[in-house]
Amino acid sequence: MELFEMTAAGLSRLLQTEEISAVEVVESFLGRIEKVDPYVKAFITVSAEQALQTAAAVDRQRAGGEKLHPLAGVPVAVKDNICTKGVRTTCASRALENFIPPYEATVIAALHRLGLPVLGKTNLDEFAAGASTETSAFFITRNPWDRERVPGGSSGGSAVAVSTGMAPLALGSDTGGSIRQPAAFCGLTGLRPTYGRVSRYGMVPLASSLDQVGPLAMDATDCALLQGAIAGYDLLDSTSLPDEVPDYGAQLEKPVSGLRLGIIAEQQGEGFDPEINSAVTRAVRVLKENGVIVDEISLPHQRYALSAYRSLVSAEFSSSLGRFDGVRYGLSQPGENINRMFSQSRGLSFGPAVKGRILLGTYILSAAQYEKYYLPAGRARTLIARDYSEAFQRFDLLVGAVTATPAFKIGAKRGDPHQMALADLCLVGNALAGVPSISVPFGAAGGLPVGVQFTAPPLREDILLRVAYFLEQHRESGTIRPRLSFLEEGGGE
Amino acid sequence: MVYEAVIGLEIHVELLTRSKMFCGCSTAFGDKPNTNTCPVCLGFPGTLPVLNRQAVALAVKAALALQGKVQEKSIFARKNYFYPDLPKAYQISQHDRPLSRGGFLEINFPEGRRRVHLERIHLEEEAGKLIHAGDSILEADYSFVDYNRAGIPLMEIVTLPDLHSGEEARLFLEELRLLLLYVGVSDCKMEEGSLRCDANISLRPAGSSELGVKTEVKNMNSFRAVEQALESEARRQEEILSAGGRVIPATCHWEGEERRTVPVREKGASADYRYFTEPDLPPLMLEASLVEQLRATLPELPAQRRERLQEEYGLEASEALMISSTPPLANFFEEAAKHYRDYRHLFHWIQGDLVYQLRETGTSLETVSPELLIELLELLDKGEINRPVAKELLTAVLKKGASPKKLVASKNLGRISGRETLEPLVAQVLDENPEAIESFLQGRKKALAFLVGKVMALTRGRADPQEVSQLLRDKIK
Amino acid sequence: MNKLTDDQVGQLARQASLEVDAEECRQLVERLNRELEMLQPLTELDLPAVEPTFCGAAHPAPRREDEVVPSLSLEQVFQNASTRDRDYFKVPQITSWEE
Repeated sequence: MELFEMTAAGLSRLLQTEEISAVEVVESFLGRIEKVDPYVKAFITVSAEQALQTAAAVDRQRAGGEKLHPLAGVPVAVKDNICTKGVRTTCASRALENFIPPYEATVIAALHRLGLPVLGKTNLDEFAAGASTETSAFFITRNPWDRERVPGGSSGGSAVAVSTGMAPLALGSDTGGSIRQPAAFCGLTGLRPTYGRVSRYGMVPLASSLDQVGPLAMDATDCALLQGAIAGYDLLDSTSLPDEVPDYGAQLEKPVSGLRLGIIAEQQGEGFDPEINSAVTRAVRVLKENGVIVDEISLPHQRYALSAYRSLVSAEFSSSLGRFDGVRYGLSQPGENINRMFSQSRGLSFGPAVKGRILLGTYILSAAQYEKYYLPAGRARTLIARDYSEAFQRFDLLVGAVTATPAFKIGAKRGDPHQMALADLCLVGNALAGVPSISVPFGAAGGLPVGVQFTAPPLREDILLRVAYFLEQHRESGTIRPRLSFLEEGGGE
Repeated sequence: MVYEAVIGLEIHVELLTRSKMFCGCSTAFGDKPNTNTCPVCLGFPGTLPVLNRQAVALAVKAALALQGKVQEKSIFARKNYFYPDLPKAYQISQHDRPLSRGGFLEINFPEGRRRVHLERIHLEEEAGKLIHAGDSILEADYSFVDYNRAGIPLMEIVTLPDLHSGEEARLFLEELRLLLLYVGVSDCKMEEGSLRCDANISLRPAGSSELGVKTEVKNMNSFRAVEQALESEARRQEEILSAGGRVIPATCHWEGEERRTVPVREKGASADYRYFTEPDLPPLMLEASLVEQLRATLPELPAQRRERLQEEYGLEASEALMISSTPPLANFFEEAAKHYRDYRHLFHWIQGDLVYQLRETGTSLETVSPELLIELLELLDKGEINRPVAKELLTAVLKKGASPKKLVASKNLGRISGRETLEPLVAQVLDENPEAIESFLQGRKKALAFLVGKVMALTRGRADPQEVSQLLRDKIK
Repeated sequence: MNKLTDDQVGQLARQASLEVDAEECRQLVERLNRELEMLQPLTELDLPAVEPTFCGAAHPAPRREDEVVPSLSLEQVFQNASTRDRDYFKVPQITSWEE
């Protein structure tokens, strides 16, 4: 077995027993990137030099007998909307094509502190405003299960990097599904943590009130390891939660029996791909057989979730992107006066999807429309959050689909907000409520991976990871890696 | 028709913190451009604001001193607009849930004491500074941006339209500034921009309770300018109304040199700032216990001090007002009064000669010890020196910081008195000036003054002119 | 539902300081109207006047100590700027501003 085929936990064991060096590990993944990435285009920037430096430092420390984090030397791919000091951070936008942050996102600082080399920065929808990675200003990323299809998004590059063995672990960001949906489309385990569990400092926002950084990995064990490394209080993020971070890995093998599971009526069934419904049903069945108590639950305000989500995201997004005026950083177009400079710089900076969101947000926040679109969205959010907290009086976790369909064809839904939004149906309610959710690969539909989604009360990522781990042990099919037949056929860019 | 002006003020005050509102950059004034900046205050993508504890505490103290109702929950909002001095294209401010509501400040107007009521007090952040490469903003081909000021904590105080003249506005601002200085909220330096004021003004027929069309007056960089600008804008509006015209809502600039207000833009299409809750900052919660803790740290306020100065030291209201408006001077007075009982005498020396000599000698009050002034006054009281010498000594004390007693001894400044000492000198002067004696005997008072002066000159000013005068009279008779 | 017109979208683009050409504007009008349609549930349903949620965190804002921490070096401040002139950011003429 090649190093790049191993899980993070597997690499961790070999690194700790010094059977392999961190430099060897990084070199293996860099080689894999060189070979595979031209076919799928997951990376915007590969930071080989920095990754090798970190790895060499880890090897030296280990040789010196220092006590290291279990993941020390295990590399990570990072979504390119998370700022890396000294390494280009683009948000897949022309606006930041040459942006070198003079600061480090808190999660990246944590990776450095613990000795995880950063392999590079992965592709996304421009400013994470999308769900297919098609709106990247640079190139589209292809789903390795079927290169005619999207990998999902907006953390598509991160998902593809892990899925194809170009990185054992990846960081993504999830505003309304941007970790969970690409995880489902690529056959990975993707966790959206509780809002505030992971610092947002240095993550370029799509919508500050919803954004969370989280892990994408091959399995629950790896997911737990990376989540443990990035979670925790951050003085630089006022929305960060001070609660202590549990040892997620230590709780994976706890039995699931006795857990009370609610099947969300609105998040499977009619309108969903039959094979996805079947995956949910089979996952529930196996849990039930192992002592999980199952009942149905309705989330009555779910019907407002999509419109509330889109209203809030557009509003926040339009405001947060005002800063790209070409003065201090970013694409800058000189003009004969300041108005021209600003509007031309901004006009050249953004693609149509981003412009559309900015204008929608500008409209929604105008004094005349605020009470029509923005205020009710905030109220709906309160009601949706109440639905969840009431549900968690009766249940320890909830289950539904991640998406209504498996990965769709490239171009199939481009620019159609309706179609794209339907895909978000199960992903935004829990995000609005701020509760953690996980996408667990389970079953398949037409040869494509399918995910089942679990949602838990705030700060109960441990329950989600435990159930994900349990389902892995009861997975029907063997491998969850795509067969990269295109490597033999050639045709990479 | 007689018109009455209705004026409300918006006052921006920079809070006296070491670091900025939402990041740890220094707030120092006058540093090299753009050296006090970081990813947060430069608005780099992905950075987040974290509230400065001291900024909140200072604003709460100001609100309490102004009798405002500090809100248990207040909310930060984004005020969105594009301007090159605004790094995020929004200012973090407070909109519909301000830190404090209501409150008032009592002012001694010429017509009597009256409360000027406040609408609200809220927290926000400063913008950067623009330097224009030309005479004015619109004429400059380009401008330079310095973000050192961006993110300095600001408190905005909004009054109700409770003021009725430029003079009233100035008196209010003077009293407000004093209060803020007392509480230690701000250094209130208008010349450095740490206190700024905009005004809204409208006219209505005297006695009417309806409000007229208002204009906003900006660009006033001193209290005097506020007074003049508002008087001028009131006249401008009155001329329009008297001619049967209508005032157009506008923002007016005070052009100090031309002594007039100039409408610069119509406010018709009022700016839409697209306010919404700042998602990066949870609500600011101020529990009652914390507010009470801060209340307990409030110092004595100007009005309270004036009352006490009158009661404890027997000062007149006008004297108390005068000395309390320079807190260091009032502190000096109270310190000295611990060891010197003749308070009024002390007050007159401090407010008169001391203030004068400080200015003349360019000395800072901080370098002067109250004990030295007391020593000087005691020498004077005991008759060991006379008043002219005392004044001379004060100058020496301020310049050298030396003890008056030692100066008297070393320079032989002690008062010269007594017949035995003075009579020979008197005799000498009379001998040398027979024509002056003649003149005096003919009833010319000036001649006596001339003779006194001569004797004083012989004593190098150390004799008591009164005593000399008496001796001269006795001798001539 | 009132549909947004080209003029309105043009006005929004000016407010958002976004230069868009005529063709782009036409496409944006379509896009925005589709988006607005999706927001209709918010306007049609009678939501109770509960306190709205606009911040994801339920705790009060933390307050940091008033301590000065080192700022960026000028090299870092201007590293990404094309507008540097000595130690300032230089911007073209500030014309009458539509706030």
